Amino acid sequence: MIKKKFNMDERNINIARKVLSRLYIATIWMIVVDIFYRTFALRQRPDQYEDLAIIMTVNVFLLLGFLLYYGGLTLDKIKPLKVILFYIGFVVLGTIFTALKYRITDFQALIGKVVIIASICAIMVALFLIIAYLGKRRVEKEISEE
Amino acid sequence: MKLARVEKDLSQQELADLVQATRQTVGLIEKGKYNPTLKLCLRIAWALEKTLDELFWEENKND
Repeated sequence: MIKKKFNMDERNINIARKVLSRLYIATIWMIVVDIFYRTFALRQRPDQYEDLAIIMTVNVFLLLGFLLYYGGLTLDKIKPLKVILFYIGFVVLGTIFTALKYRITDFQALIGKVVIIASICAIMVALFLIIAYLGKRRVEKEISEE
Repeated sequence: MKLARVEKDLSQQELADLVQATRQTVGLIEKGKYNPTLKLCLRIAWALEKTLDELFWEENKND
């Protein structure tokens, strides 16, 4: 529809995609800067920008999911070490955010939360691996079709 | 490619219409400033009644 309306050919579409992806990255960075600004300049608490945290989280999941399913990232190139690092990264970020949000200073209480976070992250990583497998199977099916 | 287009007595716009591209894209391909996809290369080759070799082949400059 847009392609026809604006008389776009493959070069125009490529340029539009490049611009859109760069703007997408720029938008993500702007949200990160906004979070820092709210935290350090406006002295807001994490629960005051929970909406941004949700947007960022959903964004990251959708981005990774689409990249894995459509072959932007291939399962063959994903090494177990990378998966483990990715998992640890999720757990660390989740723990930091939870500790800030609920103002947890007690170590025991934090450990209790870490267990929940680690379990949720394990489910998410497993979900990504399934998506990656489905994406790989989709491509293999396309290759085998006549 | 430009030579083949002129031989067929086509303007850049006319060729662009035939291959469903824009005049700018045809111009950039002729100048070597845009690498078209194989699909577009084939459409251009069919429109100009030439082979891909005749239109796009270049000798390896490293040889």
